[in-house]
Amino acid sequence: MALLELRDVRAKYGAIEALKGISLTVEAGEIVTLIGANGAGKTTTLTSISGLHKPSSGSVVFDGKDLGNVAPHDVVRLGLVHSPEGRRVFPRMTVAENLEMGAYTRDDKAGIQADFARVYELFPVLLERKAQAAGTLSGGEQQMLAVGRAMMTKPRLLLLDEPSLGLAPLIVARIFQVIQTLNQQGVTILLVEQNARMALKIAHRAYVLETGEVTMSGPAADVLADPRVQAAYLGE
Amino acid sequence: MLDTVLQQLLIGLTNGMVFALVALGYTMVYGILEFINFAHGDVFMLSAFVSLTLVGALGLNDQSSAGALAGGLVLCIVASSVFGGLLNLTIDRVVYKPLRKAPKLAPLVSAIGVSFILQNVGLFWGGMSMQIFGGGGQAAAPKAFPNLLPATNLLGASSHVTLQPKDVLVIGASLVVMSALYGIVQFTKLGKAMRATAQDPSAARLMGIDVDQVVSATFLIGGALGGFASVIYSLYINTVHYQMGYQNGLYAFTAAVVGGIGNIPGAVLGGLLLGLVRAFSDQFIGAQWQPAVLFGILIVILVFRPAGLLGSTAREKV
Ligand SMILES: Nc1ncnc2c1ncn2[C@@H]1O[C@H](COP(=O)(O)OP(=O)(O)OP(=O)(O)O)[C@@H](O)[C@H]1O
Ligand SMILES: [Mg+2]
Repeated sequence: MALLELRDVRAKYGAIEALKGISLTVEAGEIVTLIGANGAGKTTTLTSISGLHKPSSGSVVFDGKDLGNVAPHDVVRLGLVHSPEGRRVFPRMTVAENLEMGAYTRDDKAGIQADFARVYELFPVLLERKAQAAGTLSGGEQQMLAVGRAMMTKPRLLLLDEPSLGLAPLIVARIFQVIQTLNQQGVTILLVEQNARMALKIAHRAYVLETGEVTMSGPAADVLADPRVQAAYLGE
Repeated sequence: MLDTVLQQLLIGLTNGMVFALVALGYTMVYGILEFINFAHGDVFMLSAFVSLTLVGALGLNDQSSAGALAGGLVLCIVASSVFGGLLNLTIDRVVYKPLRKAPKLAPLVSAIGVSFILQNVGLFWGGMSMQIFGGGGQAAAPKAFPNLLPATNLLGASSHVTLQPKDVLVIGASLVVMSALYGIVQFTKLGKAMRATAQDPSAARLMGIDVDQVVSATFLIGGALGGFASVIYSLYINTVHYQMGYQNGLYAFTAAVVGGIGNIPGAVLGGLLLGLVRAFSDQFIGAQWQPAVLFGILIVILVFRPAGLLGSTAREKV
């Protein structure tokens, strides 16, 4: 059984249908990437999963549980976390407080302490700046904080929406490295990316989304080699 | 001259504390919902009627024993705070919550409506208390709230500056309540959830925070602060009136905006500033000029700091 399964998910904003029946699966242990042009419905796919924007029809099943009637704040407790587009750290809270909010649903003190240490080890800069307001961090640091905050929820499945957006190449490389590390530590990842090339390089499988529909899917290497993908998303 | 300045400082500080406490209710709700709860001043007013009724029912007056007065005072504070909190929470659940996703004018107009409804309730309550406690006058007339604390001058009878026990109570109790609020918001799990929700409700949800619960807690705490403020205000002014929420609410709301709406220390700063400016303008310019001077100064402040004294003008990085 797949860890996450979407069956014919449709989502609407008013009369506009942003998702026209998406089906996809993510197996435990995988990195799956979702690529597509602006407005294709990548973010909407993630908000449909986390419940911020509930689907109008179709089903989202996580670990055997239908999320249809689960409130977004309860989804986290099941081990599914969504790190949203644009980082969305709490700007006037400190770095440490932001991480603490990641652990909001947990009460295993020892586990939380261990995860603080793990995040600080992965992102030493966050430890240096732990008393600083998150809004004053650089874009790259904020992205690290967003990933760290998501890690603090102790997720089994991590949804990442464009973690590389607007970052310098060196920072992007660092973020992708961290995604791989997390995956090796057992976190399953569904990664939405504009930076299709890098995403396809670290992913096991990929889905291509066009105007609310999946138009291609398969092993990431195959998708990377596909001439249509190269023409449309890789600028070749 | 120095005596006069000290005296006005004291008056400004005590009045300012009341404004600050009421302003906190406006600012906390605004911080989370970006919505002005215009009924907040009237929650303050009705909470005062709760204490007025209690004082009447217990037959407390300045002849009562010190023990009875102290007990009555504590009872009033608890009852009015609980009442204010629950009333505010109920208003949110019944009126505002169904309108959460509606265009912003809908909850705003509803809040103004609730404000008028509560004033009517206050008017009715005023008439009722007349009958129950055998007082005279009209339902709309200000009701005398007995001085539950001795009216002695703590600085000595010969001093030109008057510092009464009730001044000490107003300032002391307000400081305690504000520190408690600061502690809650800064250090508790609920407080952190409130701040996170105020800064980014969607991100807060994604971290597992039940935003509806946080909103309820905010109305509860804000209302309780208003209820608490109503007791110390009644004690200080010694009257209760069905329109007392209107003017004080407007002043407190202004204080919240001047301090930086949504900002908790800002509400306190704005409240104190308003109280002080009012006291000094009354003394040195004349009480008849109070609204003009007060709001003139506040407008000047806003012209130079449109986001309020502590409001953030700096853009956050996206
Ligand atoms: N809140 C909203 N209200 C109305 N329409 C929306 C809203 N959010 C998204 N849409 C529309 O839904 C479609 C899919 O948007 P979505 O944000 O999911 O795309 P995306 O693939 O994430 O794009 P991008 O790469 O630009 O982030 C777009 O046509 C968009 O205009
Ligand atoms: Mg997007």
